[in-house]
Amino acid sequence: MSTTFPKPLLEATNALAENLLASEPFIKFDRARTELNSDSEAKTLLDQLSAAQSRLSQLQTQGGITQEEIEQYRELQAEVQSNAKFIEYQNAQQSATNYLREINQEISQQLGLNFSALVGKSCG
Amino acid sequence: MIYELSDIEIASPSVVRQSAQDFARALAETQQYTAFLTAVEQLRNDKEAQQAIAVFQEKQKSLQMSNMSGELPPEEQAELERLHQAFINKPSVEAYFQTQDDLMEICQEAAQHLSRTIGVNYPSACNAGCCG
Repeated sequence: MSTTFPKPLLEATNALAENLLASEPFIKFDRARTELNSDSEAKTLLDQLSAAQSRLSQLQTQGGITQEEIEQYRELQAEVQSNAKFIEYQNAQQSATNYLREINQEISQQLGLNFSALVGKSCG
Repeated sequence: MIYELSDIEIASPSVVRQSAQDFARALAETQQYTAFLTAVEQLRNDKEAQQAIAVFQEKQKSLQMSNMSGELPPEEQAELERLHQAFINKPSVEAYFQTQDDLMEICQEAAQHLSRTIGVNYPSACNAGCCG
């Protein structure tokens, strides 16, 4: 944090972060993430998908993707998306995100300004 | 280790909501927030600035209507730029943008801190869409 960041705001930010982490959606999300990372089958699939994504982007720049490679990639993607641990992780992540949006609305209502608009765009 | 939710101390929704309200209150007490609200009020009451904004917006709108495709003629571009400068150089408009930037800076810092701690990117989670 910068030296100009007000101390009472820092304390309130810390308290909010701690309570969010201790909320049910975030506990479930954390558990799903841990389980996904410790599941060797899911981990292997995700590593394979990541390698296939890199390979496809590389081939795309070189202009040499074959239909077969696209098919293989789609099959791998479908396999990841049907993996039970991955589905559980995605659902938990979505619930945590939805919960965070509710909290953002609470902050915005209290503030009288849209807080998420003040924190800027998500990209870049 | 697999644990059950019942084994963990969970922050109830009301506790989390309360801490969100406390956070908003702490933010509302900062110098950046109060300066921004003051600037908004001053801009709202600045008739000259309001007039300059209205003239610029009117010109922009009429040019968009009459020139749906293609580039603006240079003289129209210059006129639009002149009207734009006429309103952004008003002290109340400058103060509005400056205080907005200052407020955004501490909001971004708070959001970054939250994102790091909770492991979820706050702007990504709470802003639908990206880059426009």
